[in-house]
Amino acid sequence: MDEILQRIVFGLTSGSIYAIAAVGLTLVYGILRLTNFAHGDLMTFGAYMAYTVTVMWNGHFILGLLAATVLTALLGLGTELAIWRPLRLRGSGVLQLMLVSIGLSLVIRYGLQFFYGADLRRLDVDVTSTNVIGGIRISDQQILIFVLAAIVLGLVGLLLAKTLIGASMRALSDNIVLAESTGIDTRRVISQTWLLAGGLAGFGGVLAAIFINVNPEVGWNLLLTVFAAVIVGGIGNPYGALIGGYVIGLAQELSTLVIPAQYKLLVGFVILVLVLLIRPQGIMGRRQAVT
Amino acid sequence: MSFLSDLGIWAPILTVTGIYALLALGLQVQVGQAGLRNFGHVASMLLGAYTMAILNSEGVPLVLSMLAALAVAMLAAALVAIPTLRLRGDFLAIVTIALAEIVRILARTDVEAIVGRPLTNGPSGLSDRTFRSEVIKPILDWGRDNGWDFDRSLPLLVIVWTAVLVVGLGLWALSRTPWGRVVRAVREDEDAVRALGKNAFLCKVQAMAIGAACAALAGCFFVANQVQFSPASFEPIVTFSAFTIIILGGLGSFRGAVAGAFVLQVLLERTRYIETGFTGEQEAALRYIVVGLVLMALVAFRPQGIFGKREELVLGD
Repeated sequence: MDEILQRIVFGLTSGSIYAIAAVGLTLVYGILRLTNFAHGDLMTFGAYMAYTVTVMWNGHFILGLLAATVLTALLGLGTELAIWRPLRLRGSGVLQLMLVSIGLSLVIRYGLQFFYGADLRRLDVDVTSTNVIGGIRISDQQILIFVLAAIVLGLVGLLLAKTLIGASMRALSDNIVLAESTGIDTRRVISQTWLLAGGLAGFGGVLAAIFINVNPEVGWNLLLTVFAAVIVGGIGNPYGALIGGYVIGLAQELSTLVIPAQYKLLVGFVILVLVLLIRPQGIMGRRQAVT
Repeated sequence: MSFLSDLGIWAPILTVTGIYALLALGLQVQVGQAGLRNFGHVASMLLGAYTMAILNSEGVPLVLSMLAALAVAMLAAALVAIPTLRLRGDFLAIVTIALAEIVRILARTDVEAIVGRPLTNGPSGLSDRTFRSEVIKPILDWGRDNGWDFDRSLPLLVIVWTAVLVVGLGLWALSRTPWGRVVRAVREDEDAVRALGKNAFLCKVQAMAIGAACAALAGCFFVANQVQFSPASFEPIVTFSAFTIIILGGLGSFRGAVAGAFVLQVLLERTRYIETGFTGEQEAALRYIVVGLVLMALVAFRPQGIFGKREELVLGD
């Protein structure tokens, strides 16, 4: 029993990271029909920004986290203005956009490797202290990740549910032409979506850096798992992505009770493949969204 | 014949180019001809490489193990194709990349827990000299006996490029048969093909299998060329490079796939000898940045590539 609870703690920690990244990825897809393979590398960018501020410049952790979030949000918006908007205006197709995002992903990842090198680095966060609560070990970093993720996901949920910006984003995700015809300034909402998606990616990247480490591939290595969360939740659905993130995190960790831990990473990929084959609209999606 | 005794840096570069050309030819059948967005192409190469190396280590004759390598990759591609090909293009891309990663991670974890014996030797990978000792060395010995001192890299270079030529011409001829026309018609309008009573689905599965065979052959030559290989040799970047190559050369064009492989390789390899003052690690990173920039610029500004036809542009939709 303790072992199961222990696994759940781990699953919720990694699930928090997947959920934060997945919400941004799914919003961008829902609104722009862009399968953004560079999303993981936005996370990596955030991780390196936090590294720069906290380790290289000895800044406070909160400052690094904020810098990473803001700078990655700006990078997301920058890619929209420099790449995605011009491509949309030229009427680029789904495959074209996907290939450009793959190219962009290489440029960001290896750009970071060029400037920072390929060595593993760590954020200056205490990784050793562990609390034992009722036989279950929870490290300080896990509590930190879990609390930060809960705050941010709560705020994002409120933003989407209660504010005009959030409602506009959901409207665009549902039907962009209809949204435009009701007088929503779609360009502005798209820019806001990129800021949100980029910011979340940067924030999630810092959490990933705390949990794993900082290296040029940290986000790329998470991308397919994040895609799994997006697909499980129904592509384009931010609430689904949030739940999908935790579902994948828990499934990965709980799987180690029955199969060797080295296959943990595969669990997310297998779920991704199975969901796409059996129920491509995800657990919460609607059928018409995928045809 | 004296120039054949020392080809310098060009022989290894051109050998790798030929291997990439084979890989790209396979992807061209799938993506360029049939319009199937297979983003897991590298998995076929991995299966080819591992199958050949494992069978060779079991004492299976080289020819048989190479044939088995092609068969395993074709069978795997067909099995994957059957449930996945009805998926929408972007979902197909995600599924294939996930499947390729599953295969690579399985190889990395060794599959001992599944098959009951060590097979892939985990992250350190395998080493297979069979091709060297049974094909390349006899050719070099024969040359020396006849007074020709070949460059050590020459035999494989010739073999790989002969294969590129044969496969390329074969695929080109195949694309001009009725089958080839149906495959391209499937790419343009699958419903119309079905209405004409053709089995569109079977054509797609066949295109996947043929493409996989090319990749498996590339995998065999990859092992022949570098002897030691590991799961890290088969990361998704290999598939992305193959995509860059076929877009560079022009989607649907087989000579374009070969030309694209050449252009990309020269771009990557020649820049290696430019004095930049960067560290080796930085230069390695720069090479991937170049691939990324070339891919982005091509797709954005010249999606038909060098030899592609604008009216056959399969990128749009």
